[in-house]
Amino acid sequence: MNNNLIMIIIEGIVKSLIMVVTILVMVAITTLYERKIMGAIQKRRGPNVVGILGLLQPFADGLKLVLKETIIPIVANKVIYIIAPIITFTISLILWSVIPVGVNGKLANINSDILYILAISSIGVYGIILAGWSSNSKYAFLGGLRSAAQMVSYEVAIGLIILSVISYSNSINLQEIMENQQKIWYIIPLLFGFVMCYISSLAETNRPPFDLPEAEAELVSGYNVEYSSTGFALFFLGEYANIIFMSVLLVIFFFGGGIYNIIGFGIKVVSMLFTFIWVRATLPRYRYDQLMYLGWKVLLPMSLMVYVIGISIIVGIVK
Amino acid sequence: MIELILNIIVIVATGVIIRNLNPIYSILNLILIYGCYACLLVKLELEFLACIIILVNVGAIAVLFLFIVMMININIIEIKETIKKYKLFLNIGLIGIFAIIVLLCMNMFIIKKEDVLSFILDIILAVKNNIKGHYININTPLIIEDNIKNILINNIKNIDNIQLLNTNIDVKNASIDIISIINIIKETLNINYVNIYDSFIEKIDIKSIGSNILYGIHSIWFIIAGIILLIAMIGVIYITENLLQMRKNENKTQDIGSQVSREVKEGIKLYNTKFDRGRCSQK
Repeated sequence: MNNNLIMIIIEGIVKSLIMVVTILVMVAITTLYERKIMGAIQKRRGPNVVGILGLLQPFADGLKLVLKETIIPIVANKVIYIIAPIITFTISLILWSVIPVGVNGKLANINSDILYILAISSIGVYGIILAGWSSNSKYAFLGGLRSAAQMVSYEVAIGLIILSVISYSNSINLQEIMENQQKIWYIIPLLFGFVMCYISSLAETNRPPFDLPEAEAELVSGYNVEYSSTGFALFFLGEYANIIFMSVLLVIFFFGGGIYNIIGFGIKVVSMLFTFIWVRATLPRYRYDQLMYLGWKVLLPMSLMVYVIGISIIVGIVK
Repeated sequence: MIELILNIIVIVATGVIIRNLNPIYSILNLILIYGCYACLLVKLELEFLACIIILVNVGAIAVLFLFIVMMININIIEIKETIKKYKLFLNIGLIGIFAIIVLLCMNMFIIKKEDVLSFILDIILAVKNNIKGHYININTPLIIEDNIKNILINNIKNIDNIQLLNTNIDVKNASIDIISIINIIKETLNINYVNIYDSFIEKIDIKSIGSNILYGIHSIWFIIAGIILLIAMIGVIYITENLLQMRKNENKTQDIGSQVSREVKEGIKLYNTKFDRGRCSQK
């Protein structure tokens, strides 16, 4: 019994270590990928000095961030100031435990995956809001409030569209959702749902054109102005891990995921990431009232409509 | 053990919520309490409910609380002044804590009876697992083997050691029949229960939260929670009403006598402030 428990603990540690390291490397490569694509779109080279073709650039950046001095403002609330980036980073890592890779390739095999994802990602707001508050600076505070309001309001639309995906696949387990898409990807019956889910996930991850928390023109850098070195790095890593997670989730919901074809899954995820970066390079930033209008008066009613139509199709035609 | 630690955390955090001057800390402790509740529910294998609690309470309600409280201009010194007026009520609250402890002690007896119930349910589960897919006819008379009888009787003697979620392998592996076990336990412990198989099905289902737990065995806790909520509501209304009354009495009518008899010493108040740290300062 005791021996067995120790084995389980060791197995868990090894598994989660592999997961964490993979995610961190993925984040590093994603930042490079983003800079390269942005460079290509804007007709410049992008990073190409460190390593071959600039491949070591993200690692050099990370090393620079870690080696810098950690500054804690004297007026800040120390405990919360230190905890906030840890919350953001940890939650962006915890989310990955339910993503299936291959057959039975899950870290945590719980039945209600989507509920777990929704619940945990709703805790992620706290990292940002607490960082903004505890810095005791007006820019950070406003950035935190903006970000939290944005994330909370777009979560509703995402939830409703996910609800229609659930009702199509009749399951809240990600593995079963992927298995149910073997005949037809859900993007075909749920095209509008996919478009709205995509827009909402841009807003949810604070990406352009909805990057109002980090609007450089108005707020210096948003909720993380006062953070330096490791604290900033944790926010950065958390944010990018969330972006990758969102694109993985979109692929699983609408593009069939990949249980038996892991390479195909990877290609889908990378092209989804490419669209995230493409949008960033193309579109200008929204105004804040426009953002809120879009969230509550366009996306929410539309997603409700998609849900109702989807349900009526299922009830009326299929069954 | 884990449940005990979580319960202690909940109680301590509740104390912090009541005593803390900064509302932000109160809300953070509230979030901690919700987290502990979710952990307890996961421990009871009700992961659906745990997810829902995190999703609704932490993800929506507490965020809005935090959002509002952050934007209020918090004046710690003013809060200190108002708290002084309600010190008496805080001390009266100790009586409430005592009452809760008494209730917990009473719950010990309730739990013991439930242990027996869950013990029976576990045996039924074991039987169900052993006869996979076969319909169990309860009315058929069955013969009990002696060693199994001994196991049963020993377990009934050590009934204090049986946990709420029993995973005793010896009992589970024994291939025995429902009706005989129920009869033995009925004879030895003299417990009355109705429709045990139904209650077992309801215990593992989401239905149980509504039908069995909230309105069945644990209805007393539901009622107590309702009463506490009512008292909290009345308390909040009382406090705000009091403040409103104070505002009303402070209105613009001049009392010339008190104005003339005012002295310098009464006019000046001295506060002990060390260093103004702005919005986030705890003291």
